[in-house]
Amino acid sequence: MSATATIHPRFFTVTSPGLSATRWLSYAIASHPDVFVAHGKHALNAIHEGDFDVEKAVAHEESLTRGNDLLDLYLREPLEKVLQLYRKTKPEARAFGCVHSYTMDSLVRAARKPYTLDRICVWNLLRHPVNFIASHVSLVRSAEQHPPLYRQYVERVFAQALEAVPELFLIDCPDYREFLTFTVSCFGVANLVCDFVYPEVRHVKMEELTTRLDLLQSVCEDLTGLTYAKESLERFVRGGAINAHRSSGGERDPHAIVAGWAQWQQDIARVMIPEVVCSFLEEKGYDLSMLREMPPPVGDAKASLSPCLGDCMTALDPDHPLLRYKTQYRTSSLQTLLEEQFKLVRHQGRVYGVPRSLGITDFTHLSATERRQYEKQGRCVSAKSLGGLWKAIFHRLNPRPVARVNWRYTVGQWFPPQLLRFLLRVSGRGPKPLPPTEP
Amino acid sequence: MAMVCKPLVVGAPRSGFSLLISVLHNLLARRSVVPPRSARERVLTRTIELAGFYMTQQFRATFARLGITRDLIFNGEFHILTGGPKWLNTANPRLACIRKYFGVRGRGDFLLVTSHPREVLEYDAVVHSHTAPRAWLEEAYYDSFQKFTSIRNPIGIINSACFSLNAMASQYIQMFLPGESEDYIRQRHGLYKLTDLEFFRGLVRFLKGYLDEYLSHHGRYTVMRWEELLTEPAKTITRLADALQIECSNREAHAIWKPLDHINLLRFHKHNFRKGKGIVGDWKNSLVNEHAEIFREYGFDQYMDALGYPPVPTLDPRSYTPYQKLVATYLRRGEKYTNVGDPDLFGFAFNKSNIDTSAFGFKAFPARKWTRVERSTLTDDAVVEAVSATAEQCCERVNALLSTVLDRPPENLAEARHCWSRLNAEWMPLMSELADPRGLALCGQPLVLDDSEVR
Repeated sequence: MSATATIHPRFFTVTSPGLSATRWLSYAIASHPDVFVAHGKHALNAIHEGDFDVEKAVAHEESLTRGNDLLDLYLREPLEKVLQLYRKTKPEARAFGCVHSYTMDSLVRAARKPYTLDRICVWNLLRHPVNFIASHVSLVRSAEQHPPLYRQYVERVFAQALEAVPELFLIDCPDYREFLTFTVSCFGVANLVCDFVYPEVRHVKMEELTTRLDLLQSVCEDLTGLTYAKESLERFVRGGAINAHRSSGGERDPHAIVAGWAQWQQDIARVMIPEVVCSFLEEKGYDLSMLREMPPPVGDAKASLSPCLGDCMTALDPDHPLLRYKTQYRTSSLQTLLEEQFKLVRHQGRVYGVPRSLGITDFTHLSATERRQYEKQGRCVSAKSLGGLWKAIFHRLNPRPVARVNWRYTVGQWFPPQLLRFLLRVSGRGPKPLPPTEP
Repeated sequence: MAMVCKPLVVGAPRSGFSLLISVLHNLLARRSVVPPRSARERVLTRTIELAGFYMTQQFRATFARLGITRDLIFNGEFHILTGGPKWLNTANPRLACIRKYFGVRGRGDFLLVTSHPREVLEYDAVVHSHTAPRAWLEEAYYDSFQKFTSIRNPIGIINSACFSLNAMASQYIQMFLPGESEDYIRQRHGLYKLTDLEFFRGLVRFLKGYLDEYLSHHGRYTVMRWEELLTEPAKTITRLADALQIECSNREAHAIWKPLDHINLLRFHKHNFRKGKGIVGDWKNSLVNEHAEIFREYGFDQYMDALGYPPVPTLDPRSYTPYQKLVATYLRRGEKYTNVGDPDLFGFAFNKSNIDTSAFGFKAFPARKWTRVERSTLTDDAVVEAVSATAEQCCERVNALLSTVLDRPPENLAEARHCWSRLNAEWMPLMSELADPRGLALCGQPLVLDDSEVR
């Protein structure tokens, strides 16, 4: 996490939802011979067997075709196992880690033990949300040529967005395909709220990392605990990012990008991007004035004649499966997260995660009983370490369904079959030896 | 069987009015203290039931003659003679006015106001009205009634009105849009109502008019606060029971509340309750500061204070929900949300009863002796005229029959039987006009008069 001492083997991760020069950063970190870096959900050795200069020409296409090769591994396997796989892939390395294989939330989800999170050095990569959306829109458009990837956006991500923000059904939809693309891209920004709930995460802005050599060097060194020569990193800063998802002629100025959005796009962005995300990014130094005061939209006349998304989908298919999200009376998980931004409070050797809405900055004035009461009421969470606190926050926001009491299942979980057989045997309740078949 | 005062409920629409009526109904029914029906009331009740059937069939026949059958939107709540919003006629308080909604798919709708002797309102065990809280107090006839009112945070009332669906809209949904998401319909209609500030002002002005009248007689009603009923149902119900002089334990109050808690309370109007809602303070998730400003403009800070609610707040735009953001976006652009879907449904769902309609240019027709057509958007005046003529004729006949009972009320069992046989003889030819044979069958059913129940 915040590794100061250099202990090897060392584990690190740069969390990011992607489209933040992560391939470029992976190559920069991997430029040290004693480091193993995995990138995204690509094959584990993709960076080490790749070539930075060659990739600048082909990486965009590759990210679409090979970018989810190890999706199952990262979704299903615990972080501990993934780290072991890293070690097996390059046993001679002294630092092992990944870039963009996890987001902050998925990292905490994947870790089985808080200790793992305490041991791993984490940086979270940020990017201006407007540029992120613009890049993401290009990515989704490109993905249309790759049905397996596009299906993910249509069937999974778009559905999640509609479930989280059913107000989308009310927004004008002049073009269903475009609407879907833009929504999915904005949802990427909305989901940052899941990453920002974890306190004490170190964030670095992509825009600064890719242009400031000293920053790149210090981040690489902090992550790996190894020394990087400025000369070896300079070529990366000079070369620029690999995955130019947007065409080279695309607009880069966030003000100009937002000015080019149609009314329905502005509406989607307004409705989807949570205030907490905007405030958080502004705290980190981003100028989001273009999102706060959007300029007069383009294409008004067209939009006003368009059906809203709900009607558009009904016209496409009255039994469209996504129309089920039109009826929704419960609070979505995203809305719950909006209310739960945790602040870290250290007290008497423990770390406490306190929702910002409570306005508590220190626990010195609270008695032990009051602190316990707060915890019991679920108003704050605590742990021995920061990793433990992250796990506690994760469980607080993602309560596990209560399992039905099943004696057999419980016993099976508590006692592995061999131990159970042994216990039954020594207690005299084990299976009786079969009687001889022959007299 | 205990004797209790008859309850009378006056309350603004969307203020917990139906809930209060249901609670009182249940209190009376549960304790077997429903006011005993006199011989007069029994004959009257039967007459009202027949009149409701007769008039409904006559309305249907009139529409059918003009080729309107499957497209007629006429909710079952209005089939009863007393079904619909009701009030006392200001010019002649001995008459009660009842408003009925008629819609025709693709052609618009209109409201028909019928007048009958005010005694018909007692057909319901709990007499109720949305309007004129002063008039009910001034009429000596209602002195013996125990008067109740439902109160809710006015901001919550207006918010609820923006998402409400009336009985006509409900009927249309049941007939033509059975699979459509109710919440989606409400959300898109609500978005229009919240972004058309003239419409919003119309709702606020109507409520202001009601509150102005109510607050000058605040202390003369037993108050049921909607928020209290939701948060402390047993305590609130026992307090209402005390006012009715009915004993009601905490346990009984819970038992009364359980079947009423967050459900639709009407039989034919299936969209009176908004599923998933009935949440105290929920208006903070849909109204924005522009609306708060309108409340202040109409002096609602004073009303809030008088009713015991905090002043109209200023909301933090940074805490707006996605829905509020959408509303605020349209308001900032100076646009109304027009993507309201099915135009017929939108027209039918327009709040015609709880809005100041002066700014909307609806068509009104000259008042007749017993009836009046108002707030019409129907494209074909001939249809309105024909229904109006039918209504007038029906009211004339029905009111004559009602007068037979009311002018010389039967005093005992024998008089009641005699009165009913005379009435029945007059009902038979009327029912034989109808194509539906159930009318004659209804006339044929004997009127049960039990000696022990007749006062």
